[in-house]
Amino acid sequence: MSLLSSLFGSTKQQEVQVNTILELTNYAASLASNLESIDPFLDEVRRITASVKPGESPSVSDNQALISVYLHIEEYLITKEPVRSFSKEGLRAHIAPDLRRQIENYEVNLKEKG
Amino acid sequence: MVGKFIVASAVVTILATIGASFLPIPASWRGTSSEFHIPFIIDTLMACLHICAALLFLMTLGAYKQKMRIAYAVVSGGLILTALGTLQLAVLDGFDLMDSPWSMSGGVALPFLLASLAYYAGTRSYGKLVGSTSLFTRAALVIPVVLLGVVLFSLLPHVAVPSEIIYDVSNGILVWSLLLDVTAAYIVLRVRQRIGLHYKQALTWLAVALLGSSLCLVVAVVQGVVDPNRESTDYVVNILATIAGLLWVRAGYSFTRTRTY
Repeated sequence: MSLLSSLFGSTKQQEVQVNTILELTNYAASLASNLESIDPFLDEVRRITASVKPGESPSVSDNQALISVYLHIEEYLITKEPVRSFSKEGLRAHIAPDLRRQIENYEVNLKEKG
Repeated sequence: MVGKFIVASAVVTILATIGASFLPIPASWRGTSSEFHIPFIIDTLMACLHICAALLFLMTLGAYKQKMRIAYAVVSGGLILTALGTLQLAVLDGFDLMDSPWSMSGGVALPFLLASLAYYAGTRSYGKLVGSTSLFTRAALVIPVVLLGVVLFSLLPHVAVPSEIIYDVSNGILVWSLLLDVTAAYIVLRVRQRIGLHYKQALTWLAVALLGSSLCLVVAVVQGVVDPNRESTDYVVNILATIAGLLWVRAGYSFTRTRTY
């Protein structure tokens, strides 16, 4: 078994929970089979990460911008990803409840604005 | 489930290998017992590893879209052909059937020719699917270049051999497979550059497996040039091919890890 373990590592799938919007955008981006397709969305992420000082959290407006980026990537994964099928539920399953609420509120506000 | 499958495959592989070591030696066999059994054991091990890898790739299919499933299935088909081709070599050699019509007509080479073509076709589809196109994904260019490589290789000077045509065909198959495997590995590495982090490890192992198979073919090609009459034993190639089989299993396992997100 030790030879198998050293070659294959743990065969148990780890449960991931995403807690911050920055982690979430990076996580969603990691699922794209062609990073070039989502690169324009990631420019915003780069701008924000470059402006946030170490140890600080993104501002409220940056958080909103990151949620918007995440939703764009999520839509890309659900509708245009060529390699595999994703569902909104599946993608959001690992999001921490607080963060998930923020995203859902953002979506509601967006719908209300029309 | 994957963990259980890996353990079950390891058990089946060990049992099949033990079974191969107890095969009765045919009356027509002129060598020693170990000369009969060792190639059988190594070939059985190699075949089991390739089949296990193919099944691991196939286990992942449900998570992917139609075109990607086809690409995976084609690569898995290549692995199964490699396994069957290896087993037939052991059977033909062990039971003195190398002079049979199947061997003499070149049918023996067919699984290996098609396996490399499958690796190339599968990885090419993958590359095209994720928008990673290059000269190497153009089959209309790659296949003629590979054939040209085979022809040029056959023109290389070499020591006298009993049959020039058999020598050229057997080396041609090796060169064909080598060039296609290296091309497939290159396509995979290019895809790896542009794909999301979630798939990078799986693609790294896929490239490593293809390069492992290529290394085995390089040694076989060099052996074919240096020692065309096969006076030395082929164990080095067989052992490298078995290691390549293990790398394929690792690649298949990595792909099963991409199912969940």
